[in-house]
Amino acid sequence: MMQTPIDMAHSELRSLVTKAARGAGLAWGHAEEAGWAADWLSRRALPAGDWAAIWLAAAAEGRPGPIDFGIALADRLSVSRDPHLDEPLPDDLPAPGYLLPFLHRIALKRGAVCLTDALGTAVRIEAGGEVAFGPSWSDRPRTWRITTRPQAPDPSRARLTPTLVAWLDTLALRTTVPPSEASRRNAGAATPDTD
Amino acid sequence: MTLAEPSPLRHDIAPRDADTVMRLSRMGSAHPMRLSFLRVLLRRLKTEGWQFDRPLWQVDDKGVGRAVYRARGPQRTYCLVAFAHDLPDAMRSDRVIATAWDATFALVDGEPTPADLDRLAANVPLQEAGRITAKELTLSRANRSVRLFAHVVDRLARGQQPDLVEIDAVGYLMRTTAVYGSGKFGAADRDGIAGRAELKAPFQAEMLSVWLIRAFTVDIAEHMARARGGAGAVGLDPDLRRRLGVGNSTGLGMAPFLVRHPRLLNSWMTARETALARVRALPDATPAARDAFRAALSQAQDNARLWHSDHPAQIAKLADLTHDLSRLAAHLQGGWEPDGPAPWDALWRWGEANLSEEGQECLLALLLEPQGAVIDDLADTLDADEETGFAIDGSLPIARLRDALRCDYPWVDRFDFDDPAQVARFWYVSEEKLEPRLGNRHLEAGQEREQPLGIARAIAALRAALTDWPQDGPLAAFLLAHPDHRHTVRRVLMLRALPYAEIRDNVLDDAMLPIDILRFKLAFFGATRFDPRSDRWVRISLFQGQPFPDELAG
Repeated sequence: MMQTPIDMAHSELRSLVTKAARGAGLAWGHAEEAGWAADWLSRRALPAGDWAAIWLAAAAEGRPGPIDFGIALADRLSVSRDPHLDEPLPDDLPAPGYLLPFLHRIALKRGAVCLTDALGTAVRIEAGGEVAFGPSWSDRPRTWRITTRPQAPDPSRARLTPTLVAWLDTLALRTTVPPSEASRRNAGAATPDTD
Repeated sequence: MTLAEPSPLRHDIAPRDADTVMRLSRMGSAHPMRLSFLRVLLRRLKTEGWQFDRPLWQVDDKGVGRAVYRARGPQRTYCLVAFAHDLPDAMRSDRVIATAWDATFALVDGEPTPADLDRLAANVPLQEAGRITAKELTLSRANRSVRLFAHVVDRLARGQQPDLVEIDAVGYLMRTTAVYGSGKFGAADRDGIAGRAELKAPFQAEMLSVWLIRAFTVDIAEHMARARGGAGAVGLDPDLRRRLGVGNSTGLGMAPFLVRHPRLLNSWMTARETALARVRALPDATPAARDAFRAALSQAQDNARLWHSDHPAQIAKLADLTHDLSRLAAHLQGGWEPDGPAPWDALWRWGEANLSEEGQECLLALLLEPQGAVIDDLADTLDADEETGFAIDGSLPIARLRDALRCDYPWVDRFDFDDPAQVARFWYVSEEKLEPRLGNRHLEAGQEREQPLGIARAIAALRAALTDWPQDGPLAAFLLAHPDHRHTVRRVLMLRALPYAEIRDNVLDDAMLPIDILRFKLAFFGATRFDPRSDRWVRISLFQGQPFPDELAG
């Protein structure tokens, strides 16, 4: 049976997720960050509660999740002198959406941050906190990379990765009819054009 | 102003030192004062000419029904929606676990539509088991003082006024047992309304709710008297009515708030201590201010006479207060020189040398009372930004954290956390009741679920963990190795240069009295008649002696 959603205040969700995170085994300081992240997400109408349920279940089983990873990443980048970040994200990180608040924290210092895979952008976070999801977004990340200073979006041109173009081409080819003798015959290819 | 005129303020009096004022014994002697939240509310309502009425009253002869109290300000309107219930005596409980109350309330942002009223009727009487929305600012409930409510209804029904002694012995017709705001149970988020001038100061929506509830408590008593007595019934005499506040039962739940909101605590204390410093710096005592001070003292003596408690700690404090107020009155007659230089400062310094902490904190409240023109603007500084600095800058060198610890937390050295008595308590949330409680870690199970409120011990642990880390190393590396200290590191960094942010005592100590924390917070609310019923819960009164809506508007 469909359940009626509970309409929560942001502060109410933040408090609840903080407590739940502590209950799932996070240190108090990390639980506070989890609550803050839930607030950040819910203010952007992102499914903070649903995503929290995913990583909290993992945390309760002792598996790593986006809070610990996001905190560590943001902390490490705050001291890194490397102007660019381009490194892999762990595969199957539960509820990767909870990385977004921490990526925003990084973006505040370094400019836009992207999660990408071979098909293109999964999500892009601007320093102003805007979030734009790309076609590669998934709740089960694989072979994702985190990059800073991605090329600024250029509305005058479209930019796609070769892999994505190839995949689009594959689909586009489905609008074409496979080759056949009759087809070739009717195409008139056997008749020399000497006119 | 010519050069010959004296400056209105001397600038050489600093606010009191945090090591003096942020101790629990002194905080537990706090008195309500001009900057208390309910006083801030009433001043604004009066200054801005708010109008009040009761557009809906649908209550039957048994006292069951609904009512709406409307407060209209220059910019916005707020409405208290009240639901009156017929509660059997056996179900009347002040505990958080209660499931039914004599009356339940919600403060609505704007005016409720009929659909809103029906929605609220389906939810507000359920309290924690119901839901409210972003259109509501508070959710609350109240129970009758059975003894006084019955007495007042009985007398009014017979055409008589209630007995003054009975009224003063209890002081309220109903007591609230919870007033929830700030997003709880679906209410509007604080940050969505904090920009409104009338809600900028802390707990203004909650105070407005309680003030309108006070009007409801009298209306429902008069209504039931009329239902019983018919044409022979009378209304409550306005002078007697003024003596009624709204009671409140408060337990441990209020205590963690001050530890969890250190920036807010700093704002409150900075405002109050700045106010005291300003008054002490005044070069003279005008005749009007002297008269107002003496009137405030007389009122405080009356209040002390009516203030009863059976708790040993409070009995001792009341004895101190009564004695000190007598000494103060005698000093005004025979010792104080109001025409001398900086007379208020002289009076304050006399108080510091001669009065108990209880008397000194009362003197503070009395000194502020006549000085609205000098201090009332500080009400605009009672709120706080609690988000700035939440994100830890991992690039900070560890030396910065050590500096902060050395400058802001030397008071932690007073404690020995190897002493079992100094870590005897632990704060936790009861699974059964979901309410904060205090346990003894040497005798009770559950310390693995301790709430992070033992700040002094956490600071000591953080300092120990930092021992071998290089000064120029990044904080991020330390936090990666010690995630358990992230909570404390954030706190230390967020509270830099906020001298009044921490209670400078050990709240885990076996001898710590939670009622000291409760009294401090309640004094800032503006509560009077602080009456501990144990070390862990108290009864107080709000708005006692203050005007009712019809008096304020008139």
